[in-house]
Amino acid sequence: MLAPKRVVHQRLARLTDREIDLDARDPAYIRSMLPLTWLLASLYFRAEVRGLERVPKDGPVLFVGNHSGGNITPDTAVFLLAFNTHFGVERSLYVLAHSLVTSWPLLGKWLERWGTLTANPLAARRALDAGACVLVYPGGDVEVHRPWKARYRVDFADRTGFIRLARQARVPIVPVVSCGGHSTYFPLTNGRSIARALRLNRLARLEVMPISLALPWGLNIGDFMGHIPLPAKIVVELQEPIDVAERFPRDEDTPRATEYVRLRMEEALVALSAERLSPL
Amino acid sequence: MVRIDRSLCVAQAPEVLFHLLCDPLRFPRLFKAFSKVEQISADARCVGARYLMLVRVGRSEAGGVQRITDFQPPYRIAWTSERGVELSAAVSIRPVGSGVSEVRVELAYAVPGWRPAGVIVERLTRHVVDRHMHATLLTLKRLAEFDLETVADTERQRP
Repeated sequence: MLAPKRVVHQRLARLTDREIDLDARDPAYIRSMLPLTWLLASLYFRAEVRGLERVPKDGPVLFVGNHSGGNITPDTAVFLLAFNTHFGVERSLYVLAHSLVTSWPLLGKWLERWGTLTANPLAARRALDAGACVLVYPGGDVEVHRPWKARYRVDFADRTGFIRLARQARVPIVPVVSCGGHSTYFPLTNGRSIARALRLNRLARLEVMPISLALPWGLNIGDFMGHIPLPAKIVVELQEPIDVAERFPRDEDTPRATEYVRLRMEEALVALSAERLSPL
Repeated sequence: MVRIDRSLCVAQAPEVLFHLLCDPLRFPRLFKAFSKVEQISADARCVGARYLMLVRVGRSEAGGVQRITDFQPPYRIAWTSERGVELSAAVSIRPVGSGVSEVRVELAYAVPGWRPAGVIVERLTRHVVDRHMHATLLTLKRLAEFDLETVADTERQRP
C-alpha cells in the first residue's frame, strides 16, 4: 500500500532546518535493544563485521554504504549493532532513509529512536556539523531493489550529493560494503518502467516498483509490507577512509570522485562474494 | 575442465597495465585473491620464469607452480602449471581507442583426483574463481585509473 501522496509531500515540505530533530535519537533505547539485535544478527544472519578499526577514533564520518534485501535490509541492522557496540551508543550515528519509510506513523517514530533521519542533504549536514556520524545509501530505492543478476553491483543511481556533502563538511568518507543481503529473497526486477508508467516518482519519490519472490507472499509486488528474509550470511566490511576534500577538491571532480568510491565498493563486494560457495 | 573468460575496459595505456601485471610477486599486495606468490626460478618476468602461486578458494588455498609461457610486453602474458592444479591462464591487453585498453583474462583449470568429486569441486569453485577474476580486474581498473601513486609508494616500501 502506498503512503498517500499528500502525506509524503507534506512531510518533505515541512522538513526545515528547525524541524530536523537530532534529539529524537535515543541512546538509552538503542542500548536496551542491542541484545535482541545481537541475537538476530549473530544467530539468524551469522553476521560478520570487519574493518571497524579503520573508522577514525572520533569526529564526524560520512559512511557510504551499499544495501540489499529490498525493504527489509539486514545490512543496516548489522552495521548499527556493530557500530554501537564498538564505539558505544554515546557516539551518535544517524542513518538517512527514504521519506516513504520515515513517513509510516509507527515505523517512522521507532526508526527515529535508532537515529534515522529523512534523507535530505540539510539533515545530513546538520548531523555532521554537530559532530555525529552519518550513514547514507546513495543508491536508495534503485539499488536496494536491484534484480538478483545485479546482486554484486554497486549502483548509486547517478547520485553524487554525498561527494559534495563530504567535501563541504570536510569529513572523510568510509565505504561500508555489505554482502549477502540480496540472498534473503529473490528479486526478479526493480520495475523502473512500471514505476515511471505509474508516475510513482512524482507521487512518492519512488523510482522503482520491485517484483520479487519472497516469504510469506510468494510473488511479492512492491515489497511495501516487507517480507521474511531468508537466513543468509551477512558480511559487512569497512574500507579505508577517503579524504574527498583533499583528493577531489573541485566541484568538477565530483563525477570522478563518485566513480572512485563506487569502484572501491564494487571491488570489495565482488571480493567478499568470492568467499562464499553458496548464496546462503 | 573449467574455462572462464572475463574482460574489462580500463582508461589507461597498455604499457601501464602491463607494468601492473608483469610481476607476479606484486599480486598478493595488489589483489585480494592471491594469498601467496613466490619466485622459484632464477629468472623473473620472462618466458620460463617459475612462480608458486596460491589463490584462496573456499576454506583452503589452491594453485601450484606456474611457468610463464608467453611474455610479450605490453600486450600479453601467459602461464601454465607445472605442479598442483592443472591450469593455464593468459592476460591480453589491447588498445581500443582514446586512451582506453581492454584487459582480457582467460583461465582454464581442472581439479585432479577422483573424477566424480573433481566434477563437483569444479562446479562449486567455478563461480568463486570467476568472482576472484572479476574482483581482480576491478582492482586493476581502480589502481590504473586512480591509484598509481599508491602502487608506486608500495613499490618504494618493498624490502
